[in-house]
Amino acid sequence: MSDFTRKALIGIARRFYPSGFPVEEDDYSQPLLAHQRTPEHERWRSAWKKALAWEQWDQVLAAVESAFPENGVRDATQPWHSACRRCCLYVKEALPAGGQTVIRIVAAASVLAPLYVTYVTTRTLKPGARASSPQLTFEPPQEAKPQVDALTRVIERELGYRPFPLELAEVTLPDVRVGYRNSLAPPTLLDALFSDDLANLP
Amino acid sequence: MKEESPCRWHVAVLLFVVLQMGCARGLNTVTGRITPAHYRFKTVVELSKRNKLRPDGWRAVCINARITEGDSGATDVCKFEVGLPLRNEDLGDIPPEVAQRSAAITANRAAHLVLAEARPGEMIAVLCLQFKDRYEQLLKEEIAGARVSQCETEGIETVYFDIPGGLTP
Repeated sequence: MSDFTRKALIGIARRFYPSGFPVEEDDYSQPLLAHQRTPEHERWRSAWKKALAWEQWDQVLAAVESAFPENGVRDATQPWHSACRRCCLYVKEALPAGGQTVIRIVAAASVLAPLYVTYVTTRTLKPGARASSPQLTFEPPQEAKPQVDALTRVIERELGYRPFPLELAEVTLPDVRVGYRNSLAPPTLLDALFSDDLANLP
Repeated sequence: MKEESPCRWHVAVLLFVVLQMGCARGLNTVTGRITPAHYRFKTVVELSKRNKLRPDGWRAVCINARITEGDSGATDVCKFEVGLPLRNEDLGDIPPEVAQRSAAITANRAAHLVLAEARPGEMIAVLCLQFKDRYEQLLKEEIAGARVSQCETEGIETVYFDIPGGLTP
């Protein structure tokens, strides 16, 4: 993992996202925003085009599907609104008092670097109530461990990807403009290389 | 809401008209509505053939909404793209009309929330960002997996909104 140092990851982010385009200066009267007319953004767009025609991704889905035929794999990619392709498995558990817990076990593969993250979200659905917001963790609970391990194996085997160093997830990128984020705060490496809302799953 | 102050301006967005009645936050009146028919979604990623029931697919539309600030008459545009899964876990297959209805209802709510608290002279770029953020928060509660961000996807429709004539709320 020594290749993906803090410095290297910041370098990757800067290759795909321009600096110096604050939201406050966005001029929507132009066909494209200024940051969308940069070489960095062009590289980001090329990466997405490649990722959407990515044959190995289909192999990932097929491999996960055959490992969990009774559960089945879902493609949870949000094309052009993030920087990763995602697949997930769902586990539903009935609650004693009615309703159920929905656990989503997810692998996200960056479209910008050969890196992935796995994570788990949990949501509770109770009859007559609005579903709770999904709770996200990168530390899988015991019941999700087999699925996380399987997703990890498939991603590493089919894509040759390596785990994103989560200890660097919150490193901020001052001045860097990540176009799909709706925030004035600077993005983090996780925001830039994967998504600013990994818990948002279909 | 009664007019309470000479500090007055209008903002129209997505066929919304906002008349600011006071200088304090939360005092603007918001009228006008975007309708489901404006959401001319196009499928970006088809449902996979081997996947009959599970979350999958993607549809998107780009909206260009003209915003006019009343007293000055200054206009600007807020552009945003709405992306939705074709199928999710909660709803199963999401028919186009359900997607359109949810997208329109939540856009109205989000614009109301953001514009009702807008301050006179607040930058359109910042309002547009706040709108996209609020809109996505509301829309993903209705359709899990939804995203609202900048227009980016090739080949989708761009729908234009404009406010013809005066801006009487």
